Amino acid sequence: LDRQGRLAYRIFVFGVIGDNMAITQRSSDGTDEDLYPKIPKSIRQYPTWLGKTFGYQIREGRAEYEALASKLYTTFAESPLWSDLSKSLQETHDRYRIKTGYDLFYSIDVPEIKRKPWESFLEKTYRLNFVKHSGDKSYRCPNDCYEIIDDVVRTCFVVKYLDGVDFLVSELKRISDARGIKNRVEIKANDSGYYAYHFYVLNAVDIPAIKGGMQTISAWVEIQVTTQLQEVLRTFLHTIYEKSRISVTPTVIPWQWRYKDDEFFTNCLGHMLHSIEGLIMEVRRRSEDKNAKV
Amino acid sequence: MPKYDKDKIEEYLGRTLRATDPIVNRVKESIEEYRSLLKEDPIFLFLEDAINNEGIRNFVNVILLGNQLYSEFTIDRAQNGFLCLRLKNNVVSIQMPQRAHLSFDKVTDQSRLHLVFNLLGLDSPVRLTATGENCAHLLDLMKNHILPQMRL
Repeated sequence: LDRQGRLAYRIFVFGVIGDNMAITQRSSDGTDEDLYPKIPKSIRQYPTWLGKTFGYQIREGRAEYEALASKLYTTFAESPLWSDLSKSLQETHDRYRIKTGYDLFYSIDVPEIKRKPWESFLEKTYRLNFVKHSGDKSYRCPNDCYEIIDDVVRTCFVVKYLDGVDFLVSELKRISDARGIKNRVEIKANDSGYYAYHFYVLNAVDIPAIKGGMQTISAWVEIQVTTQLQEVLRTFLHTIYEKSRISVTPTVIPWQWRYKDDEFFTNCLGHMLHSIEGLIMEVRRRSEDKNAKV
Repeated sequence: MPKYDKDKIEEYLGRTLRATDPIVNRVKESIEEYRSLLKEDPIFLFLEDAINNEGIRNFVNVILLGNQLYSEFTIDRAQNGFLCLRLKNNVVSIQMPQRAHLSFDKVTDQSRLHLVFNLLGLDSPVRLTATGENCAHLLDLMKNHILPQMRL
């Protein structure tokens, strides 16, 4: 083999070994032993891996998760904060109209609050452990993820214009602060063409623990704020994300070059829509300037 | 209200129109500006409203009438528009392109009214809309303040 060939050969061998690699440590008698069982090659092997690694039983884990999701949903849906937010929609809409002259919402209806299904939660813990894994070799048991996975309960507000996203989030923050509720904002803009603000509020809930007794969980509720065009696109994106995001093996060719794939189409569409929404804002600004000059 | 009575502003805006605090405050600002400019109280207040296809009620303009003047303040601060016209004997025509679920003496929650009137010397007509119970106030404005000023 020439030099390039040998290099390619080495990479190939490493890849095959890596795919089956178990993490080992040297024991006191000098022999290697498994620190973790072999990493699962797919999500189908994940429950077995969880059982061997943490003694985690899917049935019990699911019951605990369902209890958490249900309690968190009820706590949030019946909270004074959600009541305040729901009642303030018309007023927030009016504030935006007074400020800009445009509508904030398409509809004043209170959005639906959703619970993350168990399967999605488990899959997200899989992604945390193996797809987005930081490489520090520490793995998490699903019941240690309740405070990390911040969309167990979520809802989504849809606004008409780009500047409405920031406007509404500021109102959500103001109302949450007034209630003394811990909150945070994440501004999302990713490679896949997803654009939104995520506003999180912290809720403490008591649920029965697998080991017995009760445990208090501090979990975030996610309030997404996005535009109508992005919301329409999310319906398409969701199906494609499901396929791509649970793959452990990264694709060598970036999606930007896989122009025949669904991912290329929807990701580009996401960026294009965001760009168009920016242009709409510019049209609005120019229209205001023109009105001011008349 | 809408015959102007400063003690009944909140009743008209809050109870009849269910306007939120920011809108009520904006109307009060407009009244203050009117008083500051014309050195008198208006005699008539009308808050124009419209319901869009998604069912959202929006408030558009604050209409304040003096004895001879028609004035209009936009609700939105971005535009912050102001219009002042002489009404007296100056109305050329009155149209109602939409007059849904109402007669001249009866309105319901379903009522929708679109009033258009032309003034001599003004290029574009004045257009006003109202929904539900507010249609009665727009009819009041038309019957008692616009129609009597028709140029004969």
